[in-house]
Amino acid sequence: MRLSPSELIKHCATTDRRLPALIYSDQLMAPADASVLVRTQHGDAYFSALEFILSANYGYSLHIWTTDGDLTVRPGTTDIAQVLEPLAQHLRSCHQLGETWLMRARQHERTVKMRDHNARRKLRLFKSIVFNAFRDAPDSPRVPALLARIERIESSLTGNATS
Amino acid sequence: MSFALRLLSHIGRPLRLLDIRVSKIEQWLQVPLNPQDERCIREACRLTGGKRFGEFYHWYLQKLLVARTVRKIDKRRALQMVAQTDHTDYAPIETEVLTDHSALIAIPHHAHYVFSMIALAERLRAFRKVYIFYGKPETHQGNEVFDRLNAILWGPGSNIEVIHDTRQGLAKAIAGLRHGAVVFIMPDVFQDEQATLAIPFCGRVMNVMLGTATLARKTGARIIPLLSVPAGSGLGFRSLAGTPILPPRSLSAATPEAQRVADYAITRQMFDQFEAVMGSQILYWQNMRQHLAQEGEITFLGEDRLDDFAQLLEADPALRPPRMVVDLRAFQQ
Repeated sequence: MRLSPSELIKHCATTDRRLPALIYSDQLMAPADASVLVRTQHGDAYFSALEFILSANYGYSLHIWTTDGDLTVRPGTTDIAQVLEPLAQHLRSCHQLGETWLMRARQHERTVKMRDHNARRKLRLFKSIVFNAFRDAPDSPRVPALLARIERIESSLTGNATS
Repeated sequence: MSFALRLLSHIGRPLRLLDIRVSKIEQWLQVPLNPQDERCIREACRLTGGKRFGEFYHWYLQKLLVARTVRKIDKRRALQMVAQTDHTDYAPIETEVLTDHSALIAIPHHAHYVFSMIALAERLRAFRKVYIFYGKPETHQGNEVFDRLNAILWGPGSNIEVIHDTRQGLAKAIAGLRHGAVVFIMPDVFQDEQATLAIPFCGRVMNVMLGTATLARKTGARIIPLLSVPAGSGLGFRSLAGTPILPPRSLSAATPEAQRVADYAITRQMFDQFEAVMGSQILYWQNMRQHLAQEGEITFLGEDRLDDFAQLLEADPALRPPRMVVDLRAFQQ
């Protein structure tokens, strides 16, 4: 069966039955799936915590393909770096596949720069929507209140754009 | 207009009959097109009265001819070329501009906008100080043409001055507008996307700066939307003036937030006027490919839904800092 990361975790949390799982880690780059910022010598990027949660909380052993052979992470690994490092190697190996790697063109979505750009774009769109809604009443007290909420979100992004 | 230029422009006319892509023509015009460009151009042709693909080639040739001519033309021939290709009725424009008010003439990069600016600036300089405001050529590719034109056409004593979008340029524009000057400004460009807001324009989202509206508000100048459109044959153009927009005087005492909202409203009014004409002539807009390459439109919400939407954004994973930061650099050494 096909499951989203949250559905798989929910399944693990609600049953004792452990499904063998084939994870397309290279597809987990959307903000909802990839929320761990990983700093590597090759740049910063967002990774999913799914593989770590499966190992640490639900006893999964991980077998991760790389061009240097499969890497194994033992079940119950609680050091997240022990999971993320082989995953980073996995993605670097995928890059070596060149154009045959189908998800290659979308990997920029996990970069800090793209994540930050998209987030700020979304906030600018919302700001425009607010301005448009009050076109006929620009001095409404709701405008500063809504802008303050936008600014709070924006300031939480500050410091995100490191690469 | 020189005979050679007129001849070349007419020789290119059969290009308009083509409805297929021709790689030899694209090489000759030095305009490499990717599949997305082709899709955008075809859509622009459809929106521009169902023109064939060759209309793009023909239009691009005209732009090339003008750009190349401007590089080596002298003042007399430049003014002659503009005068011979101008199909504008200036009576309504001059009625609007030559009032007691200062004026911000907002002109997008559409059709032969450079000719429209030259022609109108030439007429106005006898009556008013004229500034032409644009991005520095160092940061806005292609704008060196204005520096070049200023050097050949106007210069000191002409009553026309070019100013760049620097702090000093802005101060000069504000001072000029407060003393009844006319400022030409191109509102359809920006340098920093983060400083823009979004408006709906020709079926897509468009990022715009509010600078034109802000200048008008700060100086009390009227915004006169001006659009250059192709007219007649060859390099012919016509300048069309829209309805002047005057920011309300009450804004000077408003809060900064209220002023920004009002600037946004005025910017939308201005682009609504452009859209009314450009919507059916978008092929001739310099930003056409980039604009039509975008997907989706902006969906505006009523006031009553804004708090709910803000709440959704506050919970949006795309707008939250990382849950955790893991540094593998030491691990990888």
